[in-house]
Amino acid sequence: MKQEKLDVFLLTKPPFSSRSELCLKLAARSGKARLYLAGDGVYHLLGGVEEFSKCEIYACKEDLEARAIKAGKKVTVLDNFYSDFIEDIMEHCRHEYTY
Amino acid sequence: MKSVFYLLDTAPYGSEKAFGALNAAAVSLCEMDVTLGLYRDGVYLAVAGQDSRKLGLPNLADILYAYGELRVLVHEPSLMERHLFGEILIETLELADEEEFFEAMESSDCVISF
Repeated sequence: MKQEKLDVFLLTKPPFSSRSELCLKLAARSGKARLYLAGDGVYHLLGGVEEFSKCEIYACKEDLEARAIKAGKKVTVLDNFYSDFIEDIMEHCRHEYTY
Repeated sequence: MKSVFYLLDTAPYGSEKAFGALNAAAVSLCEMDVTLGLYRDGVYLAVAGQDSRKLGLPNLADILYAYGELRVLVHEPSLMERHLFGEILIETLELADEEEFFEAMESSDCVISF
């Protein structure tokens, strides 16, 4: 599905969590990152994380629906979020980080 | 009649705290004067249109609608911080600025946080 080897980040914490801050800092430092948002991590889309970060962003459909959040155009909403995530980690990943 | 202020500062669905707070508030309604205060990440509970069926979790917005008599106070500064003013909020909730929110806590007999 994705060829280039990038750093993969899974973020499940809401925006004002210290772990979110750390994750986004590392993703910005990486410069070549894919950010997977699940659980409370999808709340980052309310603040427009896709606008100010250079990452490719993926979000979990079930978690978006549960929280009544709409994803913007720059965000890929995955139907099989976790299987796609695992494939990415196993096949196309340089480093993986989970928060 | 005794009064109780339940403080929720955790986002719904990411943990069970919101569900616990809602149940405690609902159960207390028959005996006490109850206020549920949504603060910091707790204000995410105020967003209308929640659909948690695919998560297999109870829909917390439905619980709020089911207990219309429950007074729910939403901390406005927390809403602003989280870009929620543009979102559609559950209409039965009451917005409160910092002063009103703290006064509601101070005027309750006890404050229980989740």
